[in-house]
Amino acid sequence: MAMTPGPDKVDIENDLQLAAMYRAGADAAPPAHLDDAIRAAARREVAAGPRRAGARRWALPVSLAAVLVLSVSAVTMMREQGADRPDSMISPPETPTMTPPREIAQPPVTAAAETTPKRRSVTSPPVTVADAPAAQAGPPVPAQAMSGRVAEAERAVPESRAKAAAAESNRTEAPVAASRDYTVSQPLLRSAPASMAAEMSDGAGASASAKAAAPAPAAALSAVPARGALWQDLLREPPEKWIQRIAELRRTGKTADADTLAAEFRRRFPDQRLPDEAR
Amino acid sequence: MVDAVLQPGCRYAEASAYWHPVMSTDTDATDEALMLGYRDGDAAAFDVLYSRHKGGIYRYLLRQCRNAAQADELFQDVWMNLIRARAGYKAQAKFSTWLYRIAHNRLMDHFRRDDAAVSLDDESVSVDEPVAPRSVEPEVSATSRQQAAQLLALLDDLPEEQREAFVLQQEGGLSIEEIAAATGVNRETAKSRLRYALAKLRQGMQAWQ
Repeated sequence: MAMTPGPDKVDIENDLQLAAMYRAGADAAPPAHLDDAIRAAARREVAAGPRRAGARRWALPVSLAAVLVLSVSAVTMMREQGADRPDSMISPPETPTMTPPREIAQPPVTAAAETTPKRRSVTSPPVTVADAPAAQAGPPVPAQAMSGRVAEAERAVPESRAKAAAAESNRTEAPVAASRDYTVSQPLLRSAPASMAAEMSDGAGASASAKAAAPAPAAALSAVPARGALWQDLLREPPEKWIQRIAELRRTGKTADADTLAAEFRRRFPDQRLPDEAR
Repeated sequence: MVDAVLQPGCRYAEASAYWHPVMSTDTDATDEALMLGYRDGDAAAFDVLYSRHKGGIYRYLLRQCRNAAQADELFQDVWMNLIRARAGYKAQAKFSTWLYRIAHNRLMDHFRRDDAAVSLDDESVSVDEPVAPRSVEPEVSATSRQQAAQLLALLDDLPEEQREAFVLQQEGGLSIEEIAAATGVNRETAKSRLRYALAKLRQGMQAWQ
């Protein structure tokens, strides 16, 4: 069925007479030299090289992939660095720790690390007593072979060195005692000479020369478990128990311990008020 | 925009309603297929395209700027723009609409830049004497030439937008929608312009009909 055009079509699109008249005079054309120039330019463009559209098509996916790869590698590197970093680098040094001794988390103290003062100051907690002997100890030696040599070495330790060790321990103990938990890591004990390790671990002291060389460290070591034990049994207790313990310490005249425990209490329970009898 | 229709056995990656799987150098190939062929490196396809559209584009520019030298310059620019834009060509619309859009944009740039040059007071333009054809076929009668000259004179008198709408219809074979797309206006505006142009031309040519 034939469709009859609407008034618009007749009015606008079907004026064949006008179109024929227009075409009679519409024979103007561009000059030949323009034709040649334009055709030559078109051929040059084709011969110029590879299609740029192809390169553009790849530009976005390639850039996205590059961004993705860089992001993944950056995250991976940050994670690895975070895993390598000991906790002591993250936590502020003046913050006293309430947690039990973290022997596993701490890296073993090697002779090389001990002889590098700057790095030790950053990466490891201030180990007061074991520091100097451990630095001289070198790599671990079998216990049997050690026993004879250690006995000789102990006898040969000059008195001046013993004094220096004592002075060193006294100097470092004072500021650290208030703020740090005195924990000598197990790997450090293992790397020390057998006699020293035995002395440090039981605090009794085996040889007279060793006792003379380090009386202060021995005392400090014996204090380590006592100070740590101040709040070891309170770790899971409510604030009231802490207050009771602090008050009890004050009543018995152990003011220093009470102060230490009170400081720890304030750190752990900042929203709790310490009663007057515990202050 | 026209939705793409994927046809089996496509030679080119793109497909559209204007796409036909033919050899680009075939003179029966659609404009869109030829342009896609040229985009993909077929220089011969451009020659066919150029032959088809050079007259229409040239006359469109000539009618609008009414100066042969300027028309030559604009004509070259339009085709150079097309050549430069070939890498990004997508057969999403009719090729002639795209081509006349390029021409329209170039013309607008020209008008903006050389506003004084296109003034009706310009001595280089003669409204009474339409641009003479470069070649006159012998069979065209004297009456027809006179009719054509009269029509071109009337065309020159039309406002620029109305003249453009008429020339795009006659030279590019564009529909109202395509005129609207090429000139960047809505359909109703294009239709109105064309209607006014036709009305004035019919009225002016009544004595010849």
